[in-house]
Amino acid sequence: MLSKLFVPDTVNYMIAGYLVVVVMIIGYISNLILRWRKVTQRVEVLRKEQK
Amino acid sequence: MTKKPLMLLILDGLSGIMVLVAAGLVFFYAPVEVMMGMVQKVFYFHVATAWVGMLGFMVAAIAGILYLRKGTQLWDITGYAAVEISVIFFLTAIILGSIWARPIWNTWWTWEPRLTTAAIVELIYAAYLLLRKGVDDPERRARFSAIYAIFGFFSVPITFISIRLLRTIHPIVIGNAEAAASGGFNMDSPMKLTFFFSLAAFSVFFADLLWHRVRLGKLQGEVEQLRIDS
Repeated sequence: MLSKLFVPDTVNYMIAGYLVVVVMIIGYISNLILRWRKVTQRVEVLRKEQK
Repeated sequence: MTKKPLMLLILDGLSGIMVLVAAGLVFFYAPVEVMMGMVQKVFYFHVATAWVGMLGFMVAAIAGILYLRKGTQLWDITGYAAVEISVIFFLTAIILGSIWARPIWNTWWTWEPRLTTAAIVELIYAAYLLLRKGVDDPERRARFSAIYAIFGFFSVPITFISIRLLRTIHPIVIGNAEAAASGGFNMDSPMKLTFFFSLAAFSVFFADLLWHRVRLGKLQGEVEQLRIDS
């Protein structure tokens, strides 16, 4: 009980930390998906041009 | 080429579940550290992301050696993919460390050995990504990247051992801490389980991302080849 009273309130820093993790991971995965779509379209166009 | 292999689908699901379980353990299972409060929970993903960063740099160095020995394009793609992913994760680890340091050390940043060497590693590999874009000839680019990744990797173990060899305020959670270290703590069993599970979850996640990035690299190589042919 007493220890709970003296635990420093650092919850905002924890939220900020995990927000960074989420943003970085989702950002990178979205970037991969966008690049994949772009390159796939490019391959299809180039294949058609070759035919 | 564009059809996703079944194993990759399984790995997608497994890595997603493992990362979510790791987050669950962090928030609902691992106890709150009394001296630091909730911010200590940042530690689990801070170490896991730093680990993935270092793992990727090691993969890039091994891929570099294999490329120089065999000359296979796949090793160049793998090395590039590993560095790209690791730069993201290592930057995440640095930012998480900085967020943790603010309430614990009362500063966002200090030029002590671990932080300084980590910043140098990040810059070395960010330069790798930039310099790669500056070389047009694919073969020269691959050779240059392989050699750079091998030599660049020397900075990684230096970062790892810096807090064990030099006087630093950075805590060592596993092993004996330096007397000047600030913000260290002893892990109890739930903390250890959460810590090691997070490491495993991020390792699987790294493998999953690497596979995806290598597939993208192969497809980009195909575009380059089609352009040359047309």
